Amino acid sequence: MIGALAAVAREFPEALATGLMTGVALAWLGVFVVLRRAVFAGLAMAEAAVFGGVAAERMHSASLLGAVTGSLAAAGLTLGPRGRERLPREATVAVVFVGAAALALLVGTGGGHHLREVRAALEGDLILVSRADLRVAALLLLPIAALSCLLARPWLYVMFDRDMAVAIGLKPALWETAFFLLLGVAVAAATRIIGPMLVLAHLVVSPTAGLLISRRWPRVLLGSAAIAVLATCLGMAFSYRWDLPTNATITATSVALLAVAGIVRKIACAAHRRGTSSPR
Amino acid sequence: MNVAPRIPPVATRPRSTGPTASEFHVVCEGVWLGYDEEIVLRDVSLEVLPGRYIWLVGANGTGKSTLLRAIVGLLPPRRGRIWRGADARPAGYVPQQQTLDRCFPMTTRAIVEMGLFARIGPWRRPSPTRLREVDDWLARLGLREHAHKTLAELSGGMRQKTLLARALVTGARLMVLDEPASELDAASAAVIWGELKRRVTEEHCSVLAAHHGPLPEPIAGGDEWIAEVGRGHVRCTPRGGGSR
Repeated sequence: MIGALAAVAREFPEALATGLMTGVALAWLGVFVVLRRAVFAGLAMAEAAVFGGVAAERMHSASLLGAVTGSLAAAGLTLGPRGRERLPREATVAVVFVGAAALALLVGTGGGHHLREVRAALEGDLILVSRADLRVAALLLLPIAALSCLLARPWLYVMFDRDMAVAIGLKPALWETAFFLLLGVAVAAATRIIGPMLVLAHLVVSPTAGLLISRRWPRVLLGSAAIAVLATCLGMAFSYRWDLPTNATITATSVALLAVAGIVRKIACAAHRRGTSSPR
Repeated sequence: MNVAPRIPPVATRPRSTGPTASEFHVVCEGVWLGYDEEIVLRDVSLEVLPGRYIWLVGANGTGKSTLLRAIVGLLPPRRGRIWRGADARPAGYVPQQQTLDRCFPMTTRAIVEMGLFARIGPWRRPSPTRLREVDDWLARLGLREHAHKTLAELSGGMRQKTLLARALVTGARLMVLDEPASELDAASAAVIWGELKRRVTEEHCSVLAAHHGPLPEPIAGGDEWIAEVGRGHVRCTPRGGGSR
């Protein structure tokens, strides 16, 4: 397996570096997405980013700008503040998701492309990333990852206990807006480069595993990033070794690591219970 | 209906009558509070002066928590003004614990450390002295052995003590407590009341606490008031007699 990973690093260095950067940045943001119960909003944002990118391409504009616009619009619709809620928020999320998915296909096929080509383009493939994609990832996602670490404490406080956050002098609207902006840009950039499935794997599966691994928030951040890195390296190596589709292999590896984390946690909890209940 | 301006963090001018900004922690002047179309409290006037202890009493749903939320800054008044005094740092607030999400990876210790944020801000790490304060409160409230548990692993009483410890480490001059003793055992309640009394009498902090059931022993020579909340109004009387 180490040989396969070395071959990936030698033959696809841009893909490996981009995969690791997006994995870490999205895993850190994803911890807050999962804790804020905004997983489906993340899904809608990824689809809206795909639609925004495709629409921008059709209009001969910068696709990244279109993707960011789509992602931020979806964030505003699904996560923004509301007055009296007449409809469950999930309904809005679902409408944005199916609407963006359908429009992306319609706009994509409207350009004269075959449906299969359009689907392949929309799904993305990490192994095909270019040096330009790597530059975009380095310029956008590395700073976002650094900012996520820096802002983790106020984000956690605001999301954990909004009332106390106000009482101790934090401004929840300000901190949450910063979070949604960074999330919107990160999801848009990552979706354009690696596709929505892998974005969601890093945004949801790795943080969920991180939350299973530890109950202390700095360790949850580290654990989530470690799972994303491990899943990317193992997934790319498996994909190279057995000629499997890269994104699907990394995603499946993430889910397998999550299952392992769940089993390890169960065993650890059982051992702890036995330890505390046994007579000294 | 008029919508009052946002609560100023610090009163910018002295009131025309009564105490000046340096002499009060919070003053409510003709405050109306409500949610959506419903008005919960009308024309509330209340002075929280340094060294004053105010008990908010009344049946469930009468508006005690609403008034506390407005004083902390969580609910803007529909009419009237809420002034925060010049000395008012962020309040030490204990909300009702049902509002908290138990899935968060926050240990008891991390929750109590959250109270330090009011003093150190978002970018600095707590100093060893501040962390010792956290340890001290964990020990005094019997939480030291549970310091690494999350909210989901704590009993109702331990969660209540955690929130109280968090409010106490803020170093706030004004403590706003929403039924702080609702799930406490007698020993922990005694520690909390003792500390609050000490802060009120020695440090001239002020306390505003919603309370159910019999009140603790009065503070000897203390400036204690009872604010009865009911039928949309608040009526303040000094504890032991008189009215206001």
